[in-house]
Amino acid sequence: MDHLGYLCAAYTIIWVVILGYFIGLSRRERRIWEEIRVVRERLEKRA
Amino acid sequence: MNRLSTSTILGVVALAGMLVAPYFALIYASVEKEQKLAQKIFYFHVPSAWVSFLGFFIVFVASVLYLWKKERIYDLWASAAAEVGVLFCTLVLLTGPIWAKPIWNAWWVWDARLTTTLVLWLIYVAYLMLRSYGGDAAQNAKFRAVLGIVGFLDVPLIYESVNIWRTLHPPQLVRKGGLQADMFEALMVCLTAFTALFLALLFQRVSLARAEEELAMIRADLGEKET
Repeated sequence: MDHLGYLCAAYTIIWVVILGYFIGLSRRERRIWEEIRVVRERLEKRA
Repeated sequence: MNRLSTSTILGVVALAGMLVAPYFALIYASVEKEQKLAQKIFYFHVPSAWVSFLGFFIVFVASVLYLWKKERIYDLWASAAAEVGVLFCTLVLLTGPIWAKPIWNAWWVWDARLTTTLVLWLIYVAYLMLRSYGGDAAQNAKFRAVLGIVGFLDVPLIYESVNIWRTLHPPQLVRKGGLQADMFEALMVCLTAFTALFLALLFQRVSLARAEEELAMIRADLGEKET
């Protein structure tokens, strides 16, 4: 199987980079919404 | 159709596409006689390049609209598209050398197409660095809009580089009808899957940027109430 190693390396990199970015985005979004919830609660208490 | 459902639909299409694409690339498309299995990197390398160009085109259009209308939403879209575009351009620059090594016997050559692609990546990395630099928000957005417009001029140069200069990089096989039918079909499936993935990530990134804006507004409101 000529060049199988190169093919596997390329496909692995693609999947790892895309999944890594997607997971990073999801975490950032979850953290932001959690912060929004906390700050909103503070606002409501002051109101 | 609201933004959430668009994002969800795109996410489902992208996931389905990314599960189907490897079948077409690795099994359906025949093995090229000279390059053997290394040629199959093409099915994800080329779509990555196409969607990164799409991303930078969105940056270009949104930047023009921002400079014209001065509305913050265009800056959000431009920033989000730049980030996702850089992601796919990074994939192009990572998979290209892996494909080049067994074929050219070198990871990298300072060939016109490779060099102009690296320059494109550096321009939009600079764009993202400028975004995190801070300072006056309106001034920063204006600088980035100009960079986003000027940087896009490199895209047609990359596309035509194989025609203008003598390069090692293969020419536009699709435009010149140099692909077998099964290879062409596999490429189209991969291109569709990558486009759906790009759009899903772009919508998610815009949604995150909007949430960050909302948080900043609520904090500003809270700050006013506390003083």
